[in-house]
Amino acid sequence: MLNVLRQRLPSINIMYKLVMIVLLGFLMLGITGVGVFIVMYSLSTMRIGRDLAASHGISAINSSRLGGVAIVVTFLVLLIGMAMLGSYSLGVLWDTTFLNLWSTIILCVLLGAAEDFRPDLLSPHFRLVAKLLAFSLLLWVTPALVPQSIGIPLVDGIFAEPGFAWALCTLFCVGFINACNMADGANGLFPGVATITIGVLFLEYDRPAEGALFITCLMFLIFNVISGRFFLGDTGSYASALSSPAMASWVWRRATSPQDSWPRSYLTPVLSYW
Amino acid sequence: MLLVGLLLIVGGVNGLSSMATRAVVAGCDGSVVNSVYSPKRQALAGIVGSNVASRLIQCGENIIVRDNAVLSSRHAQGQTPPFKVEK
Repeated sequence: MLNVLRQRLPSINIMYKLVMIVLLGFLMLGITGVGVFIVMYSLSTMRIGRDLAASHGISAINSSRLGGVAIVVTFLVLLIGMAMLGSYSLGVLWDTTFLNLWSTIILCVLLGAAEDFRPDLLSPHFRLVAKLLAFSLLLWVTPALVPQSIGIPLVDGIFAEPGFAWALCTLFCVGFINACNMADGANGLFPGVATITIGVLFLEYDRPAEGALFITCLMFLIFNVISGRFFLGDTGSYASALSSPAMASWVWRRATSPQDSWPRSYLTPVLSYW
Repeated sequence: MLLVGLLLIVGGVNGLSSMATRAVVAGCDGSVVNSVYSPKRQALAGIVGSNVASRLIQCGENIIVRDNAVLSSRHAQGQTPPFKVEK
């Protein structure tokens, strides 16, 4: 009986890490942080979405690729909680640009989630075509998201033609998602960069949705640095890879004065790195 | 276990929302925003959450209008309001 119990319980080392995670969560985010870590731990122990240690090369233990699912679930609970319990009104309710953008992001996240929960459910070609179609439609119906110039003389000539600009932006968005997905699988640094980027944008613009996303990414980073149980997976890569350009696009459109030029200077190297 | 985690998150958000409402009722006089490190608030939102909540309340203070439904934002033009307009 005692042996069975010992086999089922985590080892002392893992227990020590979990206690550390919960204490840090409580210190940083109170009972909300403890709740976030419990959600993440329960998702990381699910049988579904398990990856062997050898499949990534940078993980010494078997890990879960439901990291993105954990981020999306936590973010949505925070966001819906803020909207239902507080005086916060979701941006998608009063701005169709946000509605189109976030609908596309949700569609891509669902594509990623299907792959995370059941590998090879959708063929790579299908996912690529679906993403291309989604983004081409988004940029077609929301031309405000396509920049008219980016300050580079030769490229600005191409962007002057709306058709070329639309095609280039569609290709960039889809390529960016796949690049982020590969980067996460290669070195696992992606959540850290996303946390810093979103945190800086929140500190600058004080938007509640960015605050919720920053808190979620920060909690995920702390949980994963200590436990190493998660990879972002397709869900997280798609969501993070799309959220940041979405914010960048918003910042780009809003930056009308020289005082607002810093986000451009800040986001350009970040997006280039990714 | 997942449900317990979700309930804790919702409990925390509920507490922070009540705090934001108290701040608006008090007329955003700083009594709520400035008490970042009070023990009760630390238990509810922690160091990071408490600071984030204060920033959001300060942001809301700039755009919430209580006496009429006309939005008068002190933010830069073009920035979208994150809070509902209250009568």
